[in-house]
Amino acid sequence: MLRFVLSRLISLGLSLVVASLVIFTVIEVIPGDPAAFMLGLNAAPDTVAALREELGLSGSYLSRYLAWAFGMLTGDFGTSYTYRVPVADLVGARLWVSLPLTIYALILSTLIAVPVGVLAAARRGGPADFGIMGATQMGIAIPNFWFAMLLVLIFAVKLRWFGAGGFPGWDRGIWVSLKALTLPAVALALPQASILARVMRSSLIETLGQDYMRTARAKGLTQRQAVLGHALRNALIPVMTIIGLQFSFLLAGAIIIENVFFLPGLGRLIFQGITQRDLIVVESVVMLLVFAVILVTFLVDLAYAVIDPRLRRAT
Amino acid sequence: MQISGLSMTIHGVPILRDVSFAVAPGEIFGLVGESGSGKSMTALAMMGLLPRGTQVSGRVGFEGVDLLTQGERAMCGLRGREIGMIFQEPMTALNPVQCIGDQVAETLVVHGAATRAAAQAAALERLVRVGLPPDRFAPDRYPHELSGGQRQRVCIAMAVALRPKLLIADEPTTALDVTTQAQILELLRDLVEDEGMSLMLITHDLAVVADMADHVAVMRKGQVVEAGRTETLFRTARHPYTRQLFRDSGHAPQRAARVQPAPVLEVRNVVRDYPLKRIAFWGNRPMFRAVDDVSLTIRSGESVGLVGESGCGKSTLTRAILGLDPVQGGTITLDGAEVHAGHLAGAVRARMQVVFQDPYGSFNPRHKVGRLVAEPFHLLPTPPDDRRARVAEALRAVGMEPGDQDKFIHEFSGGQRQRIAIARAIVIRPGLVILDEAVSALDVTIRAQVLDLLADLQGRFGLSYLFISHDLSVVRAITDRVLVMQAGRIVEEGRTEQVFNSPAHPYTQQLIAATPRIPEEWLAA
Repeated sequence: MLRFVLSRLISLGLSLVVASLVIFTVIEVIPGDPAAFMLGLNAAPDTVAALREELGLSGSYLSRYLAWAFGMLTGDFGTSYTYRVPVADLVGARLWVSLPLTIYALILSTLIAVPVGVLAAARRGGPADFGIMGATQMGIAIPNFWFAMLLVLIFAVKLRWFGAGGFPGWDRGIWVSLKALTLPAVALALPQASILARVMRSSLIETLGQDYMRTARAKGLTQRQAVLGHALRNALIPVMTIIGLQFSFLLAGAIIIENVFFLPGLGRLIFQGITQRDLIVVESVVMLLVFAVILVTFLVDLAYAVIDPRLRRAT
Repeated sequence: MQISGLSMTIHGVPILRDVSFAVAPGEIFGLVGESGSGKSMTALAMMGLLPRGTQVSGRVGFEGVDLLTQGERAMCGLRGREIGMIFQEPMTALNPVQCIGDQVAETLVVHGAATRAAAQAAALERLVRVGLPPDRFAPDRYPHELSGGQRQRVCIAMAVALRPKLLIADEPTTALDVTTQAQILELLRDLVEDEGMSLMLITHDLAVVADMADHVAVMRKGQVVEAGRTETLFRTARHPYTRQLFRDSGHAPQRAARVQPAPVLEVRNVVRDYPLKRIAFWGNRPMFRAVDDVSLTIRSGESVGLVGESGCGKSTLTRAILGLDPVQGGTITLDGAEVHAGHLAGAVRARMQVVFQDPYGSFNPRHKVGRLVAEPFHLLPTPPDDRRARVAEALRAVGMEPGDQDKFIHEFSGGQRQRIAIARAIVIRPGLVILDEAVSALDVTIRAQVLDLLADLQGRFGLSYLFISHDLSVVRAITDRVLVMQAGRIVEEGRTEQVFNSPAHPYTQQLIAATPRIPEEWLAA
């Protein structure tokens, strides 16, 4: 197991190095000079050159890459071209919205999907299964911003249980903040829960047909004991994969929901960064997302190994 | 256990009709029949584990109670405690994410027979009883760390953990090698003797029943056609179906071998290494030598058998001969042309064809039979114009209709599919056909027919066969020479009759001794 963790850690480190090189190179070849963009069309060439120097845009490719990479390792992400504040502060503030929102949505989605999927699989072909399959089909088909607007209409405008948008900041208290994140989290969670419930259902149905389930029944376990004791853990492996993918998607992919609810999240930051040629912000946020994806993949790998002893060998 | 008038339909399709037999305390009862005869369904009915949509009638009497009338709760209390059951496929019968000790202990825990700690201790004792002592097979091991035979032992330990009165064993050794089979059967026999339980042994293998059972019932198409004391039943065999089964199980086709001196295939000192998983991220990958310095020659028109247990390197050698994998040493020559994996000339490759074990998995289900059989033609530089005619001829040669070309493969039974696979192999008139466990998945009657067909085709087309099997009786029936393979090496080679009658190598002796056989005087009449 230790060897497994070590080998995963090594591949995590290598992935990060490769990813940072790719991101840096891609940003490098994108047309559009940030300095020229900031100074406007009529700027004198030497002013632009001076600004380029100040922003750290001159120098060789390798030296700039190394400066950027080592900067990140020490927590120095550089200074935003447009906001003129350290990128680390900018990203940090947004991360404190996006990360809790993502985790909140994932917890909701898992809490809904696992029992619903298990119920559908256990009652396969029955009315409960039929209803769940229909509902999840709708959940996947309907765009989440529409859900979001519906939620605002019902819970914020009509019932006035929640605010319609905005984020007060964590210094105003945990409950107030969580309350502000609830409607966006629900809007994000519903489509994800629909997908996850379907994966849970099909994975469990496949597991129920396995020979060891018959063995468990022959031992005298009831159907319920056999499902909970033997099938569920085996069926969770594909579900873990999807949860891992959903985490990365939600972290940056919540931009539409962030806009609907006026949340200062990472999605909006990266969108603004791109439109304003604030490449250092884009670079940093993309790198952060890549790091999150790789880290989550690592954690999912570890979870696999915890669930399934066959995967504990180093690969 | 007294079964009387048991009938069953699944969604209206009759599965069992009026099945009656009795299993006496402390005896071994054999239930024989071909696949689809209803053996397993009878067992599942006894356990109350039938699939949905099943209608049963009749009576399954167990200690004076009719199990068919018992509720699910009562049956849960009975399964595992009074009646244990083990299944055919030990590789998949255990939960892969739970250690073996817990799985055995679970039987005790679900029946409230012991606390968790006491159950663990009892599980340990049961594992020792089935031959898995903790110093070599710690109870915290997982199923994937055990071999098939060891896993079947774990299944047995689970089934007998509460010392049930009856153990139902559904084809318990069909997926195992002969020597492992002999050990598992020995264990089952010991358990019956020591613990006074009854054993209901379900199998398609008459020799296993002859060896083990006190009483036998023969099933066919959901009915018991004949039942009685084992020896009496074998000696008299009143029912024509029983007689046919006996005949087919020992069937040896008539062969007129016309062996030419010219070799078709020559394998010289072949070595095949497999890279194993890396132990460390740096460092070299360890290698596993699957085929170690193997040499063999097959002459034109000759049948050569290759026997050995699973994992001995038979299949690896086959892949190397077919040019599917590169060899790490030695040469393979087919009709004078050397076989190199990766760049094998179509004309050379066309000289050898192969028939695999699984008649269900070895066809693309989306193609029609005509296209499937015509596939080897792509090896020729110019495909023949009369493809349909030649496919029709090949189909006729294997006893199928030319019109079958336009059907899909799912429309055929296992035996018919294996005939189609043979048609595919002979359609371009190869010199050598490799039969990799080609009849192992077939019932005895079908197997006898396919063996006849192979013998007939050999005579007509002068084919050479490399017949790979773990089933010694089949190899004995159809080959001229036999090679015995163990751990990647050929340990014995000789004329088939000679090797079987006076095996020289201890491993061959062990294999032959482990093969169950119907006593010859039983069949004399």
